[in-house]
Amino acid sequence: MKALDKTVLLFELLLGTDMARVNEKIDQIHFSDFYGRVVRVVPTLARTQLLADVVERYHHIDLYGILSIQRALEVEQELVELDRRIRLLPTINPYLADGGERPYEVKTVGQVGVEISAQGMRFDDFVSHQGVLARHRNKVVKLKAFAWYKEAKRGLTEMIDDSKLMLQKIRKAKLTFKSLGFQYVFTSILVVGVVVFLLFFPQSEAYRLGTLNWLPRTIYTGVVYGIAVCYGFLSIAHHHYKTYPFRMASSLRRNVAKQQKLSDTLDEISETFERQLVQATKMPRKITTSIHKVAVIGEQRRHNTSELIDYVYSEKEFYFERHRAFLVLHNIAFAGIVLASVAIVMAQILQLL
Amino acid sequence: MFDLFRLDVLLALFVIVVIIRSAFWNQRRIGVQFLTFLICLGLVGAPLLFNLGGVLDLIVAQLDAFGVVWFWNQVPEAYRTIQLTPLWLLLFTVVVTWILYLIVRLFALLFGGKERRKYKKNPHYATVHHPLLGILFGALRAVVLAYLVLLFVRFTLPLTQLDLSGDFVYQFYLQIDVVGDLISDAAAGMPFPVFGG
Repeated sequence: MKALDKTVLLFELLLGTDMARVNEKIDQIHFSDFYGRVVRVVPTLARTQLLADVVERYHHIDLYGILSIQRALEVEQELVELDRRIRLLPTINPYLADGGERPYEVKTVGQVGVEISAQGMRFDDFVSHQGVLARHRNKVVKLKAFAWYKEAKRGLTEMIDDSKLMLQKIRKAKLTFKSLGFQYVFTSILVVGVVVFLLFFPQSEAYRLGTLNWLPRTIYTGVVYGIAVCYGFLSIAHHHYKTYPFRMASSLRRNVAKQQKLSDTLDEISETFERQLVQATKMPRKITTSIHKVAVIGEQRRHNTSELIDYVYSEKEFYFERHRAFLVLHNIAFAGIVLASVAIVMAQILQLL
Repeated sequence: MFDLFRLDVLLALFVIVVIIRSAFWNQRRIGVQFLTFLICLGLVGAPLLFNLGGVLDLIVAQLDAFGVVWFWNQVPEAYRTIQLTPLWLLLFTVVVTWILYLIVRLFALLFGGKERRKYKKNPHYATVHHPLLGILFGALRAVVLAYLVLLFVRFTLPLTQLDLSGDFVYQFYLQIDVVGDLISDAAAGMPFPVFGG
């Protein structure tokens, strides 16, 4: 879910067209499907209103269904930022760069794609086509959107191939942490020895019957708890290292399944998409959603892939870097068990004295 | 009379460790293995405890023929008391269960096909990590294992001389333990002390 926090907000501002249509488009603003629809703009603009009004209305956005207050604040910040960016863009800015104001003239300048993510916001290249005529604009938008789709599709195919390759590599990778394995086996034997000694040996009978002196008795009890806690931790740590590839492969498999599904969806809608592109100004909602998902998965993949490459090509370094703190605790637990065993011997000596 | 020593605390720690370990590693394969072990335990334990078909008598009758009695007589007399017979029966059951379990696993390896081949066919084969399911399954595993540990504690008490009268979990366990009583009853009918004589 972490990557999905980088919510991508895609919408279109169709300038110079029917404002009711603009409202309709603004109404389509949505976040990821996981959050559902969280933003709504009250659609009251009249046909002839200026872009300035559209901009102004970002202050009156009605937010509901937000998962948390923190998220609401983030969305609000994003919208304020959007407002600021629009003001900075001279071609559609009702306010001039020198601070002077003039009413914005409604003209056909093309299509503006705005993408907001956790990293910030960027305007799509459509903006640079502001000079083209309406009839050319259709062609430009069509080409642009089609290239976008092709890129997404190619990216997805690559992702799936890469993931499958990585899965193979994980499966083939052999993890051998001889020192950790040795520690675990050694401590297991030590613990069994100490437990057998405490429970069954005649030398510790006085402790079991409660007739032992207070110092050795305290040491014995400390040893019991110390060993239990240290060995419990060692056991968890050892299991954690052993099963780490499984968990990593599992998350990778999940991603592959997700990517495969998305790829199928893109294939499925490609035909209708191309047909719809003839109408150029209308980008089908389905494809926007899909491209949004591609962006999110791409983000996840960038993160996962670097981790996987580290894992596959430098296993030990990767483990030691990633689990540094855990390894320190592991060694402390190991030392704890060894110390406890020594303490038992000391308690024996004390008893003899 | 261990001043600060409590079996409750140790058992709680044991349960927590088992649950956390299970949360890390909860493939379907692991679950199937555990269930196989439980079924083997039932298959071995039930005939022994209820002496189904006189199987326990048959085993005891054959002990001498296999030289077990000679080995038994080598064990120090202090460990051959009638009080400890249930412990030996429990250990015997667990060991035989393990052997049966290993045989079943070997057969599964022979006829079940290799996991790797299944992965090759379908990369999503049965290997999705669900921590929550792992925790739930770990709880089941922890209960079963804790029960086995308590059985072991119950039958080793004569040896260890521990005083567990103030132990909440152990006292509660004694009230609900059925299997332990069955093992004690089965052991009472066994002629082990005779061998010791």
